[in-house]
Amino acid sequence: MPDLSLHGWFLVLYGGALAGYLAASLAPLRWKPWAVLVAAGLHTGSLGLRGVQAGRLPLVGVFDTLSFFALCVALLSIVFYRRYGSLTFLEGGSVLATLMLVFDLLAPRELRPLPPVLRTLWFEVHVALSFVAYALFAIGFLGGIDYFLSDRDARSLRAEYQANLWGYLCFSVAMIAGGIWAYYAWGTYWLWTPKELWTTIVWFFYSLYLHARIVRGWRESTRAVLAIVGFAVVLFTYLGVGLLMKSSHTF
Amino acid sequence: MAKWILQWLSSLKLTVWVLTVLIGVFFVGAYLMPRYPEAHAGMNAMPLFAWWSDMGRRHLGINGWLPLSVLLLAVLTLNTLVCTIRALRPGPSLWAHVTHLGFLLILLAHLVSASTGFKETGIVLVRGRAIEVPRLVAALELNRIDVTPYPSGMPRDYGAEVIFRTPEGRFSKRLGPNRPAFYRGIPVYLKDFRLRPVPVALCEVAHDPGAWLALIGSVVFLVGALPLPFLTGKKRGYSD
Repeated sequence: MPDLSLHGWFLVLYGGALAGYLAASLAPLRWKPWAVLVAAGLHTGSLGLRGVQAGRLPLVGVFDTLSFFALCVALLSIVFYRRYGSLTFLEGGSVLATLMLVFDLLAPRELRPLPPVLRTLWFEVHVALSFVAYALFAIGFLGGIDYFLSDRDARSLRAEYQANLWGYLCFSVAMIAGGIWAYYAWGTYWLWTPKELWTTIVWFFYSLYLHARIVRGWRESTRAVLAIVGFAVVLFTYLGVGLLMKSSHTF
Repeated sequence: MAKWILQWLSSLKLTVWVLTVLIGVFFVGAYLMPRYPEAHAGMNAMPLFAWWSDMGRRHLGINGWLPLSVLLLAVLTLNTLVCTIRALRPGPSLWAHVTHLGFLLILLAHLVSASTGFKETGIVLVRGRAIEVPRLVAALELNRIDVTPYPSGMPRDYGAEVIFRTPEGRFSKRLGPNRPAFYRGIPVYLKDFRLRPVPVALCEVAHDPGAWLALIGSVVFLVGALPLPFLTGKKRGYSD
């Protein structure tokens, strides 16, 4: 067994996960589920080692959060493939996870000590559930794509709806946890910053999606388009706002 | 006519369009905030309506998105209220209306927070000198500051022991990050500290009466929302 440091093993597992997702994107159909499963296993190991190195949940900074986001997308793509039988979830999930990990290589990787204000359970719940929600919105996006690829199969719409509804619930709980944390940290559950406004835009957007779904006379393709657009809003809220603007979410 | 107005006010299409415009207005706000920081300065330092009447309205051309979003939220409130009252009956859709009730409570909480409450910032505490905090009806004095560092020297945790001199007597409380000290339900926050040349704690008193209502609204919202994924499409039905 090669003599590697903890960081060395982390890099091996991370590289293995990236290679696994890439292989899953290109593999023949019958190997795809296994390739995603193996890659997600390696990926979980890499995040675990990162957590051991940091001595906390690895959920601070773009590198760790994007890695966690990619893992959630990969795991949920397996769940939705198993439940709804469409390969779009598996193929799209592995492509998204590959792209996220490639993009992640550009982010700073050093582990910094956690600022005291982040040392609270409310922060961990807030961040972890936000990214689970983002991953569910990614699956909703794949459901929207699948609707058009599968010649407007109703099953794609059901999958898309379930993913977005669960995403909406997780996102709501994440916002509530964030509000409780902000109250204990800064004395208010709401701050007027661009990040908070974008977070509310995401919440309003998926509220709109859930209501538009039951408006009589609205075409199903409109709802599928909303699910696709919603993920673009999510990506901008996470990466665009985080990279371009300073806010209470800059640590 | 009245029936038509009621129908329009409770319609899902109104919900969808108000949400669409609201998203657009928030988008404009999120764009303008970092571009014109001077027009939004102090927005988080006091309740929103006090800030608006004092500073915000001076830059109406830039801050116009804010009253517009309040107006749209008022329409959404009316829409949610009328829809819920008209559709309220036992059945699967009841859960959706419980989420509406939670949402309305959260909006009410924001209204309370924006119109009441206060913030007293820049309270500098040192040892041996009590500082009067009129809003708290108490005087505060620093007793000591403790810092637990990481091996790198950065603070892992810190806290300040503060003496409260109140009409009820003298007692001390510990403040730290995410750990405000409460007196008569009003929280006192430790914002920053310095150890040299003499220990100094920078504190803030922030009273947000809408916070509890927001928490209750959030719990009600979740109670209504959690069963939704388990209801089938047929039970949910369609509406105008």
